[in-house]
Amino acid sequence: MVMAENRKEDARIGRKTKVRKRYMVETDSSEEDDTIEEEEIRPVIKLAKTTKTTKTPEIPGLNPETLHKPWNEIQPGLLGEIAIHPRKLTDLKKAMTSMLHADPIFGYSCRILICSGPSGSCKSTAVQLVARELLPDVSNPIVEYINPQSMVSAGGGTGSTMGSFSNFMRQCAVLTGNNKRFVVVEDIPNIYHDKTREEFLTSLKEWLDISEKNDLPPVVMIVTEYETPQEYVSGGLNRNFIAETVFDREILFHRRVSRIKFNPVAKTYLKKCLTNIYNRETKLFKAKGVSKTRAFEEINALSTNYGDVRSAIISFQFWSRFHSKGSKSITTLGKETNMGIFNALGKIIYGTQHKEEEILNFRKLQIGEYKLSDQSDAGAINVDVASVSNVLKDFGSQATSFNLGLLENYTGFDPANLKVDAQLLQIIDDLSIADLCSTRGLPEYQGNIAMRSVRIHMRNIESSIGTTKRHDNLKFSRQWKVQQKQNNTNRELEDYRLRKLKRLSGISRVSSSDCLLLDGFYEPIILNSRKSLLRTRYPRVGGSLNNPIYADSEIVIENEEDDYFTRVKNARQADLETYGVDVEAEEEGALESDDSDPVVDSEEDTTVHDDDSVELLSDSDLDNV
Amino acid sequence: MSLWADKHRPKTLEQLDFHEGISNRLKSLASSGDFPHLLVYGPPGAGKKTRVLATLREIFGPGVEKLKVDVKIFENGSRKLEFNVISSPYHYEITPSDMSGNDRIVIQDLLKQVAQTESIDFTRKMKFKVVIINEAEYLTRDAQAALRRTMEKYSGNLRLILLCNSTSTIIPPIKSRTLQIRVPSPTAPEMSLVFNKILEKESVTSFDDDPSIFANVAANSERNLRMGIMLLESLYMNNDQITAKTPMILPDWKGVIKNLGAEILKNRNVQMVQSARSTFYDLIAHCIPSKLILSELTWELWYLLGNVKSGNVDQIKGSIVDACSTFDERLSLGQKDIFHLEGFIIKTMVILEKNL
Repeated sequence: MVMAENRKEDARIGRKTKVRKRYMVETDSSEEDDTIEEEEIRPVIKLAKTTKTTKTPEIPGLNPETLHKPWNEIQPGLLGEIAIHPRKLTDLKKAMTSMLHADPIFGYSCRILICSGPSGSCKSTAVQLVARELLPDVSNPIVEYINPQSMVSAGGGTGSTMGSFSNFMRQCAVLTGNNKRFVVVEDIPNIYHDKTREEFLTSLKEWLDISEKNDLPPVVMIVTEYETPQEYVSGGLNRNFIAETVFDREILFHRRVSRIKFNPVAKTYLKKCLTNIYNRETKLFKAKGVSKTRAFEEINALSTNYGDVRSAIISFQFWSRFHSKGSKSITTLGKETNMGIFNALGKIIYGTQHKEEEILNFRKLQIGEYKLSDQSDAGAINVDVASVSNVLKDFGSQATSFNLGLLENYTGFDPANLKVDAQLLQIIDDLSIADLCSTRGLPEYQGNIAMRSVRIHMRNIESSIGTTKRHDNLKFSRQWKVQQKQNNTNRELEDYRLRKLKRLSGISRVSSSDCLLLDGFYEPIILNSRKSLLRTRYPRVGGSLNNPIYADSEIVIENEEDDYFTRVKNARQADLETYGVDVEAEEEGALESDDSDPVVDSEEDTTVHDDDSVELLSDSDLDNV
Repeated sequence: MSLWADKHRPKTLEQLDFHEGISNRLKSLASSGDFPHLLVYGPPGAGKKTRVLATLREIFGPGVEKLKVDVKIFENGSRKLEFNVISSPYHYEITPSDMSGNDRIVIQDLLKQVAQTESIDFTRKMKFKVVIINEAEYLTRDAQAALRRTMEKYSGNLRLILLCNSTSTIIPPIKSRTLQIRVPSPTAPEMSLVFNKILEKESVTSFDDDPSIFANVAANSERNLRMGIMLLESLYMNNDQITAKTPMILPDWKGVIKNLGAEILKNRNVQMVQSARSTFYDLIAHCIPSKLILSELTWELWYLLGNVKSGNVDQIKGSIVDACSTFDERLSLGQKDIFHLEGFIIKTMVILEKNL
């Protein structure tokens, strides 16, 4: 019934839009034109949405509803059309099927599926389509979490973002049996807020802890991964938005959690997808006077650089709509492919692999669109100058971390033949000078000096040792890992110093530098010796040396935090065994005495013992020695 | 039980074993009941702090040993800074390196609080309170400037004692407002005397009667008495019998730097640069100050080059020290230490490559 009505309506709109289409062909798409369309378009979009959910098969050939709608919103109706590798799709299907039906003996083997990948890699679409296929009888097979923060609700909304996720999960728990749907979480709560993240992770863990016998709806988490410039995030720690940082170890390695990684869309799939669109919209292209070969040229150009389906489709539509005879290819004005850090480091250290592209990007940046057709100056551009400028554009504002990346990788330039000579010295000298700029109020020079120096000298080195191109893999700088460890060492040191201070007050006081350089090493040596009968091994402050931190090519989750807690626990235990001082108990007292004013206290006679504050008297037996 | 170095720390000026002249002067200072602001400086492990605390005990009695640790909150604009302050009824102790750049606010606030509270107890002999600033060389310029005003304004009921290893970063106005006392390192025989006393008190007999052991300990601890005693105890705890041949136990970070120095002399290639970078990062992660790494490394190279028989060794040494000073300055000016440490390594390698 509903479907029939929809079709009728479709037909009506189709007629209407056809009229409009003629109108469009006649006039050149001017701005005025656009505003008229805006108004008319609204009901069309609304209807398009309803048809989508009721699964109206898409009509091949001219599809009037797709004419003015952003094409990226038109989802492929069939799994075959989706632009991902078939194997990935099978994996996804298998994983989602297993979540839907419990094994009669083992119960649910997987509760949460994590789909991670860059933007526009078909994560959500794939999940939706598979869900629709697996639950064909349910009109809306997906329940989605909406972060109250990302919705500007007119009615005031619930307000609290903190409890919203756990509330949502609790409500979802009843979606079982005949009501079973896929719970999709795409809108991840703000993980940069510690409390929100904690709540988010706790409710996931609670979900995972529910017995496998219980019937629960399957949960799919969709994580769109991206890199955050590290300097903008407080703490300077590695806080890229990737599955590893969104979830913690416990969840990622939980036996009832599976993960599917989506890659950027490969060229062939992107091409297929764009070709499908072309086939569907042939009439439009014809009307705009786009020849088939021209369109396929464009499709080819688009699919090489993108890897992001959504963005590629939008560009394609934009190009086709405003295409006029002799207009340029979209690639010259469309998306500037965002450079990854490794790509940029590679360009500076090893030199670019694609000379023409580099120069083209550079000219786009320097000369502007309109003179691009004039190629006369292209020959005069030095490719190294172009690379440096292009990289500076993207990474100039985060020069400190970029320079650290250069430092980590410049010795990876053909390490078998690279010599420690004046050229290499010049590079490190300039990196060192660039670092000075950051504190001298000259941050804009920081990236400039470092990148130019590295490129120039690497070019010289390349010409002197030849181009064997046997370079090391690029690695992330260790700085953030080291800094995290350093912070932990500092906390540990402070803990150690305070423990020592409390134990020894009245006898001796140890400065923090002594704690670090002497006591932190010698005390474990003395206490762990054969003659001492300590059961707990006393750890060195900050953990043992010779346990170097390596640079990684991929982001790895560290368990340094765990090591730190174990060390502090062991140290306290050992303290208790050796000296019989229970630090924990005293610490509680010390915290309570926070508000007591030492100045006021000390005005009293010294023999009076304040109850609230912890007087650190020396042990009487120690005094006797 | 406690570490020897803490257990046998002298509490009174009489118990001090060396630098009798300084101790006597401090004693007469204490007996006068009042003293000016003090700037006590000297190498680590020479007994600066011990002397200062003994002097305070002389003045105020054993009450100065009743310590407590308070978390004090200071307000810097909208931010709140939490900071541990150690205090007794008579004095406060602060360490600027704990305050990480906020030392001016902390020092101003704390000193004002201390100085503005006058003692109501009229029977008490001393009307002033003492503030000890440890590691005063790490005070920022700002904080030192603030200190200078405070010193004049509240001199009636506040005495400052600044402790530092070197006065080179202390600004002249502060130097001129303080009585400067230099405490030099103990000599090797003085250290041996202390070692003997401790071993006697602990009734330890496992040390051979060979003066070269103590001399060796003293040399290896660079005449830092605290380190010497720690080393002595480590030797005792880890060996059944200590002879002149028993290997010394040196801090691990020193060992790492020594190895690095030896490696640089042997291999000068890119792989070495990479492994040096790992070593530096490891040391930095353990909070070993970069300046200390640089100077230790330079001294190690200096020492190792002494064994090299080559015509222009002196010239090499000169160039290395020159490089060290350059990168030492950059460590002060820069932000990320690793650049400058690696710069020094490569510079050194190039110098060695050219001249050796």
